[in-house]
Amino acid sequence: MPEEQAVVARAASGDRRAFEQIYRAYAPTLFSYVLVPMLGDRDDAHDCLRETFLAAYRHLATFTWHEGGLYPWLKTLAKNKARDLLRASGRRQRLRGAFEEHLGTAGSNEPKNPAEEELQRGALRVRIESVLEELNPRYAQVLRLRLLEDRSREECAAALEVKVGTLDVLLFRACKSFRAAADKRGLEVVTEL
Amino acid sequence: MSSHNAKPTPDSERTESILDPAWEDALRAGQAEEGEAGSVDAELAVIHLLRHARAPEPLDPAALDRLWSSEIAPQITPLPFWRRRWLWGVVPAAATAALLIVVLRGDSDEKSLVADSSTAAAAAPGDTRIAAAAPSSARALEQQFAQLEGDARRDLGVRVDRGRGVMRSQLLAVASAGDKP
Repeated sequence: MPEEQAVVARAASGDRRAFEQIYRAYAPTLFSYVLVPMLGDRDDAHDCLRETFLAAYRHLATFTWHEGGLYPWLKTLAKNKARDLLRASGRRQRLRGAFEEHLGTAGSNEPKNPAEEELQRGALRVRIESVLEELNPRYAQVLRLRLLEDRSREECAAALEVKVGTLDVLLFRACKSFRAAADKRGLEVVTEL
Repeated sequence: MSSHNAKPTPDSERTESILDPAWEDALRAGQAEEGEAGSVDAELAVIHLLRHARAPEPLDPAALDRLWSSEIAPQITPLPFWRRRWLWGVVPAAATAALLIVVLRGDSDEKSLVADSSTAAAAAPGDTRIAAAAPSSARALEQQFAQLEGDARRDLGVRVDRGRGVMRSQLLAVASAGDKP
């Protein structure tokens, strides 16, 4: 965000327009790269995003400016809000479709801004490709076509020379196989937070 | 296999988002064909991960605007004083209380005026100057007496008794002088 430090200072002193600038700059990234992977649910991610920015507005005066800018601070707030929601909703719900642990972005690799989040996604695709190479070629193909290349069911079925109905079975088997291979390679696919 | 083909699966005509519930339906259909049962959360997470690697779930501009204008901005914008909710309770209550005080005080003033005028009317014809004859004056004296401290009340009682004795002796003297030829 241009002149971020000045914008943050204005927002911290109660300037609502400055705060809106921050919101518009970072909310989409927090939603797509932090909250959806952690929660696996659009509505929950939406609720957490709102709570994140309300908390940010209340506590912005306590933020101390540093080189990394505001994004890491907002990201920590968002993660805390997501964890609060997961704790409140219970263990069963937290498993559903959440995949934050799969991203393997902990520690020093933690993205510091939206551009780095995008770079991390590129790195993730490389890791995914390396796992796909170990799979049964048909499983790898169904995952590539259906999930990475966004081909329709009919196209996938034609490419794999199966009936459309059989594609669901192939997809299910391929997902199980991917999970096992990823476990072996250290690309975490644990389903617990 | 065909028995599950009718189940909802991701529609080829539209872009399937990461969190499209149809992905879970497709997995469940595949699981059922395999004769398995139970949670498909782990497989669903794999689908979500691969879809995220392709394109992250977006927050579209309309949703971004809506979240700001209807859920965040109203909560961080201080309300002008006339729109504060507590004001709508406090102001009518204060106005009612003020009106009540004015009405009650007006009523009591009226009563005391009536009482004073009746006292004056009772005292005027005979000009006897008997304070006890006027009820409001007697009540006022009683109130003043009650407000005095214990010693003062005792002292006043002694002085009243003494005055009454003096008056009685003077009356007796006058009476006995009158009996004389």
